[in-house]
Amino acid sequence: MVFSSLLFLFWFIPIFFAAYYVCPAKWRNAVLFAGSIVFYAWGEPVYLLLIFVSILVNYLAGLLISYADAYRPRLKKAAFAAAMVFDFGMLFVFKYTGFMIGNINALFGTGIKDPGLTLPLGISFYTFQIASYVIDLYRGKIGAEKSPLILGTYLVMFPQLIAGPIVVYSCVSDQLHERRITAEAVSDGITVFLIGLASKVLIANSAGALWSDLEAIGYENISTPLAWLGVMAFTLQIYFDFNGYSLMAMGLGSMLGFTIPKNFDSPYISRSLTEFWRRWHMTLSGWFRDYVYIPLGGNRKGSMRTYVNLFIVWFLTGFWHGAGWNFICWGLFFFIFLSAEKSFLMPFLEKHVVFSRIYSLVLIGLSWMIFAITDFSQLGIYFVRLFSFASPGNCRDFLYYARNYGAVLAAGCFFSAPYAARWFDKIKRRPARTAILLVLLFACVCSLADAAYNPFLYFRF
Amino acid sequence: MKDLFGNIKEYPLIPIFAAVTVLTLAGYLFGPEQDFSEMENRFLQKRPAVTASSLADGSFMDAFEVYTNEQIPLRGALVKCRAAMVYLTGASENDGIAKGRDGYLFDKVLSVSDRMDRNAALIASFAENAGRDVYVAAAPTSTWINADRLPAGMPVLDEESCREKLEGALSGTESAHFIDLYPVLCEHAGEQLYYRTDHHWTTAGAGYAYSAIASAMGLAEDDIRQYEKHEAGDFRGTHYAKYKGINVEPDTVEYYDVPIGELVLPEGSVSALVDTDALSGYDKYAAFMHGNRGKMEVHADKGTGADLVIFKDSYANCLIPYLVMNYDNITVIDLRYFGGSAADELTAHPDADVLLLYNYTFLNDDNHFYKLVDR
Repeated sequence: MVFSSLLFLFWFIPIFFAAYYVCPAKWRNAVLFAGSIVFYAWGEPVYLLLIFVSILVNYLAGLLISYADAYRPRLKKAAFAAAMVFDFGMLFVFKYTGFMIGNINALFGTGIKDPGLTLPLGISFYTFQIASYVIDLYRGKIGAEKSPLILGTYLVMFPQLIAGPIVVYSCVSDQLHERRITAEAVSDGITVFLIGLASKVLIANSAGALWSDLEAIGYENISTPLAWLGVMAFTLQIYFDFNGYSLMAMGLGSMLGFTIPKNFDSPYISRSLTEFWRRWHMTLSGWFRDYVYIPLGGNRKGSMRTYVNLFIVWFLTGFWHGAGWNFICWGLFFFIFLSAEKSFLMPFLEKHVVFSRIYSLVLIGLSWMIFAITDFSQLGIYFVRLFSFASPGNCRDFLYYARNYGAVLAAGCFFSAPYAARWFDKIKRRPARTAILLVLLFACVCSLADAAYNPFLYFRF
Repeated sequence: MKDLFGNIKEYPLIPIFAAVTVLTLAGYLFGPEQDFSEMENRFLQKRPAVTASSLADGSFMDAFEVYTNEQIPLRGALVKCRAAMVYLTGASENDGIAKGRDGYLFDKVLSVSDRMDRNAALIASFAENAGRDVYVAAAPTSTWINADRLPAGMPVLDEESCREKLEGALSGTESAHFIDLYPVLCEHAGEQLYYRTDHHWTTAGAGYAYSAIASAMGLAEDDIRQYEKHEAGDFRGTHYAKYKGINVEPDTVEYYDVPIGELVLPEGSVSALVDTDALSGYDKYAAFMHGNRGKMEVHADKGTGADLVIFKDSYANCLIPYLVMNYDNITVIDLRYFGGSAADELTAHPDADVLLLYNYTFLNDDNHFYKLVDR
């Protein structure tokens, strides 16, 4: 099930939240667990089994680690290793088997058959979440979770099960045991949810329609101005799509009594790619920082080692986003520019305000092309269109798309900056805020009723 | 609980949001279900029944999701509001249909499909084996004839390249005669040759096409305007059904009372070419030839001694009344719904003329042309 659907809005929300609020506090985890299972199983009944096994394995590993803690170090290590092998092994098998087989076949000319496993929904996200529990436990930062229901609820909690934010266990463990639900939190939660819904339905879906038109027309047939409009459309689509999803997750979390961390902080106002990654998908970069970069030694082992560590982190970040060479290239694209900024570019960017903004936006936009176009020859064609001003025919195609998507793209640019959100937060009169939110809800429902284009980009991961 | 409801008055969003979701849910549960959407001309998904197998294979969930989308209370009004919002952003397009000058709606087509080549080859092969002359008339659509009314830069089907492909494929076959309808329609582009809100041509547009076909096939052109003319207004066609926007002027359907002996439909015979009942419905173009059927026969009994077999799409439906002037019997085949064999039809009518009449969008999209050569 996806948040931005009539099914979720008008069936899941009223039924689930009625049950959740009405039942006594001590049953709420059970209700949340059951509701999340329904939510997940709606699209993916088969892989439910995988989730249950994952809960069981990590729960038992957790108990073993904490039991063996001081006096059986080898058992502790074994339990930890087993859980890690299971978690990342499942991720690897389901996500990367096809990619690996394809590469082996291409390299050695073998004919190994790809079993064609479909990616279990949300596996990239919940693997990282549950790994945070086991790793923190192993490091002694937290205690083992005694209740399988609570650990299970943590893993399957529907707000962030499928597409993040990646909530580490230590951050919500208290709330899993006891949480207060206040009217203020629920009201704020609905607010954030509706803003996320509008981001997704009104902006991301519309911008995405432009991008999918370009795919259908064929990159070789578009003019240079339209190609740049396409970069802009995809750049806005992926932000409003993913940030919209994260906001909906935050809002739902708040309605449930949880505090789910913020995932984006106006990334497109960044003045360097380093800053961009401090503002984009913050829970993912935080995870890589805490569980990969710093354990590798971070920047404390000399500059050579620092760049090696950065390379590893960005290779993994790219590979995490998808089993394809283009995603790896996308990660390494950031490795190159982040290293350059680290070694010499940063002081220059800090001095030149206008240049640094243009630099960041153009590079971010181009990086999304590497991300969006998985086929390298197609990517090449797209770059030729972007930079060869000898376009096929004329540039009239730009006029059509500028007229049809101009308003949506302009709104996207406007709402990418933090001003609108700040202004909204300043509105003290609740009726005005409520009215704005209801208009947004109405517009979203109209759009969803029209059953126009509505995919979630980050579901592929 | 106390925390939540104690000071709820300060948070009006909570009761309002709760009311909206709960009332909509109640609408789903207790409201009437709509069977058929006339505007979209299709059946809607009703609430699916739960069975063990449909739950296990996920088909229940899929159907239920479609059901929630198609049966949302006030769907028609919501969809129109959406179209109005899109219009207010300055966009000319909604759901793949864009509004151009003079109130014409146009179909966005992003690429020429590879079906065009295959269909052209199938038609050529059919003509090769027909054992007689085969006339192939290709109708331009509104986007080509009304090119100057298109929104600037709109991607539409490149019908000119479709024409080249078809003409090229037929050029090697001696018995195939390509009838280019573009020049005659282009010459009259100032008149209303196409509906503004529908993808078909008008009775007037079909009339000019008929003259071109008649002269190519050596028929004596006869004017159906000698018969009584009727009009049915307030026609909002297939393009409108997708566009749904505000500020669209409806079309008027014109037809003539061309007398025939009988029209044989699969379900029985009727005495007129036009189904006047359909004129009061939503899809008024469906009145011509009573809509599409796999096979129909018109017994016109004009005493000309000539027969015709026509393979066609819906564009032909308002052109057949013109052809009736020249033939005693017309066999009308729509391959999409036709279960028989094209070769058998030719054998059954050994002396009949053979005409194929299709528009370029159809030639570019349809995947039933294999039935021309299947035995």
